[in-house]
Amino acid sequence: MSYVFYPGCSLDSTARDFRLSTEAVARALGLDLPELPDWTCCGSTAAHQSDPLLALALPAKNLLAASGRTVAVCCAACYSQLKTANHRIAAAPEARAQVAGVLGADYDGSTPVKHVLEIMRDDVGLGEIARRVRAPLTGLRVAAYYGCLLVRPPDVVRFDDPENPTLLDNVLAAAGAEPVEWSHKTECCGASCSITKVEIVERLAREILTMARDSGADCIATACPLCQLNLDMRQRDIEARSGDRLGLPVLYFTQLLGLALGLKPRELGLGSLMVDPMPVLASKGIVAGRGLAVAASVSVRGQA
Amino acid sequence: MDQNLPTGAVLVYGAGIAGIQASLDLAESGFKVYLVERSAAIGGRMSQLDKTFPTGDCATCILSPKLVECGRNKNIEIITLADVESVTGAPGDFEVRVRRNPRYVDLKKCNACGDCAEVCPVKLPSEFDRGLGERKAIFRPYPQAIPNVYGISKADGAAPCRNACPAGINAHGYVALIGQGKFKEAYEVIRERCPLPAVCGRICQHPCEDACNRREVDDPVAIRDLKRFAADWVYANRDQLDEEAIVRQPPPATREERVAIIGGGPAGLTAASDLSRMGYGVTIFDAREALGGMLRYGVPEYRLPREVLDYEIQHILGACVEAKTGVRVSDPASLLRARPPANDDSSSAERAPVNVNDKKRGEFDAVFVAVGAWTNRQLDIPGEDAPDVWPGLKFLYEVNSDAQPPVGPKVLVIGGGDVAMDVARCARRLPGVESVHLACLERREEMPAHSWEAAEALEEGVEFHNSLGPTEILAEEGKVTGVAFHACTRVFDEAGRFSPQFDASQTSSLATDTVIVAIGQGVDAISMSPIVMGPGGRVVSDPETLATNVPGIFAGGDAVLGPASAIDAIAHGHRAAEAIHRYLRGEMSQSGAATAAETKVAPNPNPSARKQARMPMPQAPAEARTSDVREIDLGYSEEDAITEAQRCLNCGLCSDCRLCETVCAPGAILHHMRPETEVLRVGAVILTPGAEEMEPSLRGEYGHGRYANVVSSVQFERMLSASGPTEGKLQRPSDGGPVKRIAFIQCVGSRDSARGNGYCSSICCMSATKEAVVATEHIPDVKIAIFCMDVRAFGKEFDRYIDRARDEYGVRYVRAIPSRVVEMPGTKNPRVRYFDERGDERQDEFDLVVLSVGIKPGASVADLGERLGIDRNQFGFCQTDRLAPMTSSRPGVFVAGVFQEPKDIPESVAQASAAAAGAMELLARGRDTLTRRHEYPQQRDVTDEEPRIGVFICHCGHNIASVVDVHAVARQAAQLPDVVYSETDLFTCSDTSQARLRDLILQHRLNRVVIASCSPRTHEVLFQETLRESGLNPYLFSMTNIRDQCSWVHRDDPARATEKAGDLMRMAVGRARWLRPLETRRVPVTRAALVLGGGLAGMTAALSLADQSFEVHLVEKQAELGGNLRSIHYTLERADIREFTADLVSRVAAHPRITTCVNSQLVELAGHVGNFKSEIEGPGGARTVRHGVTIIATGGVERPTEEHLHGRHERVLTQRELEAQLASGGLPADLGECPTIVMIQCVGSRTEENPYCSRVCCSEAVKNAIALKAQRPQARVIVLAKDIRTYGFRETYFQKAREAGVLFIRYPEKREPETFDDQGLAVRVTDAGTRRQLVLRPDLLVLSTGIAPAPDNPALSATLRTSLTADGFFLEAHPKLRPVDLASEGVFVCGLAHSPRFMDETIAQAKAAASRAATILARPYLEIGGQVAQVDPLKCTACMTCLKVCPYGAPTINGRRWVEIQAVNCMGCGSCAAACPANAIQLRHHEDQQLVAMLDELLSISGVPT
Repeated sequence: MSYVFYPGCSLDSTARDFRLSTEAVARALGLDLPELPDWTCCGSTAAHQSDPLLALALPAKNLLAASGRTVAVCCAACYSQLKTANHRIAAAPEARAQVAGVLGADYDGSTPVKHVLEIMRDDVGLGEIARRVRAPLTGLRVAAYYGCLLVRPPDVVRFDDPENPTLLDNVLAAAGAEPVEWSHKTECCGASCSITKVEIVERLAREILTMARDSGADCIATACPLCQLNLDMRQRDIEARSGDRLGLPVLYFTQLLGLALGLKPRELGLGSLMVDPMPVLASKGIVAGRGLAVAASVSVRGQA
Repeated sequence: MDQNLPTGAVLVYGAGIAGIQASLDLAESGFKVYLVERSAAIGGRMSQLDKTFPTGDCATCILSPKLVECGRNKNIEIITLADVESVTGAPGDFEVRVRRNPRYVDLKKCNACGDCAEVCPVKLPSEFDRGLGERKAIFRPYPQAIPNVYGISKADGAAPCRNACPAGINAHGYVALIGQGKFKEAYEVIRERCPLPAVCGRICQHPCEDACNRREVDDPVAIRDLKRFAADWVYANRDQLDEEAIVRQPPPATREERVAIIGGGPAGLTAASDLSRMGYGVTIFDAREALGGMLRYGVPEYRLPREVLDYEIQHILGACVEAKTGVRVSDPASLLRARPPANDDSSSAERAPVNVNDKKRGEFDAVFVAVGAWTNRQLDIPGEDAPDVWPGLKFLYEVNSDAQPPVGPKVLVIGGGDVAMDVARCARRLPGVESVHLACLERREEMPAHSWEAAEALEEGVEFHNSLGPTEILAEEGKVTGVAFHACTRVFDEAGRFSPQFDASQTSSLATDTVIVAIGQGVDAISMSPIVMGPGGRVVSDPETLATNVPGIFAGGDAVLGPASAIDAIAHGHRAAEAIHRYLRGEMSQSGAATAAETKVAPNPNPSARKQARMPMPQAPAEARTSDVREIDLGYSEEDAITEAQRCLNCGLCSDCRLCETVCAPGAILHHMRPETEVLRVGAVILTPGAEEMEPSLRGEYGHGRYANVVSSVQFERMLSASGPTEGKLQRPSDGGPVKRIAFIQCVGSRDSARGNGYCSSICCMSATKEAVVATEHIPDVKIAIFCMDVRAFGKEFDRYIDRARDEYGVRYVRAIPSRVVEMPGTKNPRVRYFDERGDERQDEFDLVVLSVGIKPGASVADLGERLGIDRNQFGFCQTDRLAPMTSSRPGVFVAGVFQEPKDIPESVAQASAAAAGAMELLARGRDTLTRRHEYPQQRDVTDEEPRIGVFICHCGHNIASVVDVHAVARQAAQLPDVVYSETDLFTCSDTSQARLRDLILQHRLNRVVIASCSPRTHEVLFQETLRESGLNPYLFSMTNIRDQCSWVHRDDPARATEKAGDLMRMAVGRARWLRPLETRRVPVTRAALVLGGGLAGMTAALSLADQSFEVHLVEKQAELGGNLRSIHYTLERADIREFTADLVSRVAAHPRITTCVNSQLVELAGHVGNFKSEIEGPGGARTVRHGVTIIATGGVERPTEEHLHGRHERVLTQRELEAQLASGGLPADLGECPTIVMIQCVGSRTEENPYCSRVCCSEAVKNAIALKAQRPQARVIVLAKDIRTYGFRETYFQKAREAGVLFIRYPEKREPETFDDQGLAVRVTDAGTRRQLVLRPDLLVLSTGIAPAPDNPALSATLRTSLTADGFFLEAHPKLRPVDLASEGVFVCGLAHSPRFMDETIAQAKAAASRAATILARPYLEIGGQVAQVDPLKCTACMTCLKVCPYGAPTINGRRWVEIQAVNCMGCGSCAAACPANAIQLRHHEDQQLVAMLDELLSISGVPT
């Protein structure tokens, strides 16, 4: 299977560590992920809240540029936007015609779009991942957090069970981690209110973090840059306001998988996380003390 | 027989309560019934219920008598585990193909003792308890099941483990047995197909584990290790066990023929074992010094200790198996004895048989060649002939012969397979060896050795060198110094074939002093001429029969296969033994039949099983084990083995361990049953397949299946049930903790076109309320909230029930559908998120959440439309018309119950009777043509005889006999006066015992029979039948229960149980002395019906009976027929009622058997069922009518109202008035194009005075609202209601109305809207959603005033001596199961006289009344039982106590002012006899004298004088 990688704006900015770790893991698994040349915005948020046609045409432009290769995506918002565009264009001829008018080329909605998690499951195979694990994440209890966009709307994305998805859990289990049973896998983190109504985001994020902690998780694994941002960046504020100690590192699943595949914390961008994962990882023997020192210094820089 | 007569039989498909009711009605009115049911027992969904609403009856208690009645009816043939495949033919003459699936238990022999389930090792989730509990693979769905027999669940296909085993060992069987601690039994299952269990349990390559479905969950079950455990356990405990069971020494040869086996390896040993058990004498020849072959000389001892092998070989040898070791046979043919040529024409056609008669000089009749594969493959490189280069097998042979092979300190093994691993690891264990290296062509992950073998070798310090191809063995002065290699770049080509490629430029070498080559084996190239040999020196034999080209010589094992596994060799051993047996019996030509058909493999029954790691095999530490050759796998402990075995998913369901066969005393187990198909001829088909609940996972956000404390309503019902998994104790599934807070979430799957279905399931509001009430009765302080959209309590007495639940039980109804349930960490409390009535978000925690799942047609009937040729509606239910609700699209095929539309039990029962009526109308002329009535011999007159009592004590298998000393009881009986015969029987109820009882009655001239066995409730009638067949009056019988209330409850105290059984038996004998023959009477029936009321109900009932050729007198109060029909214009579905009514009236008028009396009414009714006499007063004066049954169909009225300015304001109408306007030219023009029309629901209904719901008004409002929007699309139509109760498919019209723009505003309970005139109409209403007050200004106000009972119901009820409900409708005999019967026999009710209802429901009830009536009218006479109450006129004071207590209206005051009991109405319950203060009433067969005699017997022995 040949892919083109669509990073999207988050992976180019706030979620550079997601990109770094995804590419490192892809290399370790022998997966070739060339970047889609000249990609543009996926049409999320800013576009889809202001201009429905723009919100279709932007993803269509990118999908057309993939010339039929499978578009590999990391960001849940991009994933949702690209899948929705395919769904709409394939189902509604008038939408397709409108988009063709804007793009100057006809796009039929057939370019395959896959989240990196789906590629892990379908193309790499969980068994193969397990075979390649060098440093299993034994004893690490992880809350797999999917967020809202990855699984919804179910008819459009067809990602996994929309209420109790298990794909991320299974990938983590293949890496030797112990996924916890918890009920907030697909709750909203409030990302769309991230700038306008921070108190809503904090309330929702606190609920998710508390549930994960109370379910016995040592950390949270996400597959969405917005979720990661909200749960990680706001955690200190939430703790301060509620007086409730959380201390839950929030990692991209690629970062955890990378560690299991034997990659170094530095190669995976662990230093840029706000809640330092190193104490937890070191306590489980997943990273050595040396890695801790390096990462700690990076993490100070990241927070500065 | 008249060729044109219709077939007088009906097939009823589905044996839930509807199917049972239809069958009973048909059978009782003269039709043969085939009741076909897919599951193992009749009873359907009702059997799963705990209680019923609104009566609070125990569901089982009211259902069970129906089941028994159905089971006993001679004209109902119950066909369980069966399905209809097709229906062909025409109405009146259908052919139905029915497939009977196997039960694997003989229905006739099984007596439900339950011994089989006791020993069955397989536990499966109980479907009946919806997975909350477990059942065995052999089971009975529930204790009251009819037929009351067990059955076995077998999967569709073999368990994959068993299927994968080449030798056919029943892995599932022995794993299941080990899981239950039955180790000896497990060993016996293994021994069936494996003579070497402990050996196989150590070294088998276990293809079973590779196939194990548990792989999909985590790791396969450790099947091989469990096999080893079972064998080791049995050998370790042999002192305690029956020696026979272990050794199973073959008996001395019983057959003349002798068989020679060449080669004592696993193939040869297995063949020897099998053949010896068949009775053949066997001689094993082996070239080596001991038996075992490769098991002894090829397998290292650390894997297979010698003593294990020796011990098991000892079991095979014996009287008829001798071993000749150290003997090499080079000419197998020479062993054969000359046989007549006739038997020699049998081998495979492909190779011409060779005549070897000249060689035949031996003493054997057949030879099995199983010489193995002992030759080493060579490297073919320079230096291989050096003395320090060892062939692998030779090395192993030396090691295993306890010779010390002279190898140097540095050993290099060449090869990457299992033998190479064995060689390397053996070398590691040799003294003097310092290092062991291993080089092979393959990459590490390609190595052919099993991964665990390689891993263990690495652990023990063997060093691997991969991707190397040896080019030369280097030697100096004849001593090996090393091996030179070049790089291997590829081992296998793209197609996976072995095709190595090398890179000669990359060379390397390893220094060593000993090289062991283990790169493969071949077969000994001994000459076996004239046997045909194949490539690689392999012997060629037929793959199925293993026959060679030489008749009488068979070959198998490695000699044929090349180097293969031990289990393949064992498989060949079995095959050879079977083939030789057939050959010697001259049956070889039938071998083709033995070819196994493509076997199906059972799917994984539980892919989402909880993960549970495989029990690790304890091993000696790696550093310790290289020092010697002791076994490294240490074996499981008992606990480990049980834990591991219980990981089995039971893919085969039944494990086929056959333990049930060994314990079943009546021999009822039939493991080899096969499906059968039969063709039944019937005149009509009734479909009552029922429905199943929707998947709770439709609403994934509630977490069913994920959160332990979220259950479905069906599961909750089982939790409440005393026969359920927790025996009625309500506890949290997660931890068994107390339940203090319960939430019900309604409409899971119902009223949800996006995820479930767009219809309303009709029953859930009430069943949730009932479950809430029952839960509160279990736990008085429980807090219950029911989350719902509407409360749909539309049935008779339902709203009163809701009011009680709310006001007395504190059940909270929350008008909200929650958005999410999450499980709280730690407590596992489900937390429900919803918006409360003020619009605020709330999150409440509960202990338990119950999801009220809707109902839908079952998956099993998904293709029923195709099989039967009937149309289905958009939701998959049977397509019917509102005006013909029991008629499918195919003539002659009727439908009833929830398969027609979701409905509750009484509506289902009524429809079932109605469907039966449909069949009766169609087949009227075929009545009584296929049924049979039993004729009995003339009864013997015993009045002048002294009592001659026969006493029969039943063992009930072990049920009674294991506790009670039945022989002692029988001996005691023999001592009693008047007892002339006594005996015990294994099963008194069995056919053979009953035949014997008949003989004994004649032989000993018995005139009283006493049976001490089980419950009279199930068996008394059976025994009484036997008495009648022997010419004895059936009342000369006394039965006592020494099982349920004796042996079962006094299991711990056999001595006193025996004493009690003796007491019970004596009491029965005491009573028997006083028993009298009782006369049963026959009363002729007047075959005519009186139908009161000429509306829809009355006309429908009259037509149905008249079409069945019964006379009908139809009495109508008004001047013309039609009743309320005259004011209905169309249905919700837009059917034209005017036309329908006209047609109905003209059919009634034209019918020759219907006498219509208009302007008439009933003034007096006398007589009783079968023979009533009525006075009808009409225009021509009074006249007398004689009839056998009475049907009340007197209707109801639209409730008149003066509320909301009705009658005072011209723009205030009732719905009926509006409908008339809409039908006759539409709305007044002056209303304009966009008028505001407000409808107010529940005007005068659901109030303090009239607490009941009129059922039809919501749909009427929706119907008229849609019509309004159709006529004036711009109109604003607003409906004000407390709830919208558009149940069933009517819900879709509620949705249509909303889509059309009709606005529905809900107002709170007890906050009725107010109407006032404020320069035009104004309505003030509170919106329940926002709690805000609105004032509406309608141009037209429409009132739904509901249905009131007919004003003359009280008078009519008095005339008929029946009762009314508090609301003024007629009270049926039982609200659930006798919905159209009244308590007085022979009187029925239907239509609005019963309760408010729609036309389709009225039609169903009317036909049901006709069907129930036909069960009386069709009989030539009514039989009056002997067990009836009788009044002594001298003692009677006419105090009327008996009239009050009798539930059946049997006592009446006669002209002489004392009470007479109408025997026809008496059910023999004895209430009157017990209640009579003057002691004037005796219940025959239970007379005082008989009861006193029982007490005398009981008390006299206890030493108390009587």
